[in-house]
Amino acid sequence: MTISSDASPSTALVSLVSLTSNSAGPVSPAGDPSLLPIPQLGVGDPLANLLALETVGRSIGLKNAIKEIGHIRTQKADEWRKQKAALEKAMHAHKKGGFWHKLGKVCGTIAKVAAVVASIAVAVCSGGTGAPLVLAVAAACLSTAAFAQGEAHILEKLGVDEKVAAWAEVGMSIGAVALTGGASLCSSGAALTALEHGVQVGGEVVAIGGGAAAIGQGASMYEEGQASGAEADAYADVAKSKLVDSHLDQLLLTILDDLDQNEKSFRRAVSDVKSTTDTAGATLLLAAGRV
Amino acid sequence: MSTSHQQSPFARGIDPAELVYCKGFELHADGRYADAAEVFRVMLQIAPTDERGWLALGDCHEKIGQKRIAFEIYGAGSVAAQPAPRCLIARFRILYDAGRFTDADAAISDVELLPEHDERMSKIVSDERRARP
Repeated sequence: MTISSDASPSTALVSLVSLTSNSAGPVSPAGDPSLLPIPQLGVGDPLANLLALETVGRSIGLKNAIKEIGHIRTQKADEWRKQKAALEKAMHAHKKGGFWHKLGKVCGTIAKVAAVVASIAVAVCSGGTGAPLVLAVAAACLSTAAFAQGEAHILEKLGVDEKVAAWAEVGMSIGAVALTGGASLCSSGAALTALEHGVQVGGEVVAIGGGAAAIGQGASMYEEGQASGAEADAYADVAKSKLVDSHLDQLLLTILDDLDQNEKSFRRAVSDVKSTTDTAGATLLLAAGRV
Repeated sequence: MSTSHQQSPFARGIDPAELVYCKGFELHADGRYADAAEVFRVMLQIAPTDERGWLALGDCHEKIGQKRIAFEIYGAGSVAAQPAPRCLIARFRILYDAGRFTDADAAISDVELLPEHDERMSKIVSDERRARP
């Protein structure tokens, strides 16, 4: 079954990249047909491809996209700084046997709640900028963290045992759940699962009230007594390390730089092609004159 | 200038998101899921309402066994890129494979309820239902 040949109305494009001839896209190990639509770009004339790239350069295209990502990155970095400060403060209180300690297992869910707060805060602060973009940024956070853990087993290398690391991955999921919850703040028509709805409610309370009771409520909705206190404490420590590293910011910065360099490279290539084309045209004119 | 030229992709320009998607698709097809995921993350920043980015990013996570993460990404995609029938179908697959048949059925039923549901999508849905009865 081929289910990937639809054409997005906004994209009927020319060849820039040669793709494999697998018109049905990659097939999953389970044998399911891929749902990924085939890119609209096919194989074409190399010169045409380069000229097409020039079109991209002329349009608002990548340049504006790069600016936009940069702006997002700055905003996100601010959010991370706030989150880190809050987390460190909470953990300090926990070590002194203060407020957080009295709340018992709540401390272990700080990281998870922080993820909820951050996501909701982004959703709230961005106001009218559009939920999809907010979701995209938050999804990038989730995806990056999950990939880092999934591939490099960062948590295990930091001394966290396998079981706790597995919990951390589940913890990352709460960020994603919060994504949907955050979106629902802007789109009340969205259908939510029971869990998502629960987290949404918790997230709203945290975002609005910000009090300890609200945090406990939000955390307990998700946690449901699943993690032990020791595991939760370890997870909170790891979460702190991850925040300090600001790995995500660096990654986005790298992507930005790559995009920027690629665009400059494209422009140089197009300029060279233009020169070649001009030379060829002049030669043809000369040849025609002699005939 | 001919009409065909006016309608050519050249004349209309190129969607930057398409370029990025194309690159990600290539990496995905090569099995370089981590690299592909990075590209799709960029794509989502450029075009958060393009269902393909969400679908592809989720699929990258599925390929490395992170079904739960993929499930949530598909969910976010179905909100951000409405309508997102393929994201819903992807969620249906995960739910079904996890044994949550009622939720799975609800997910695929949502596809049929989409206003943009057409004949081609009907075929996709019926094929999915056959594969996962």
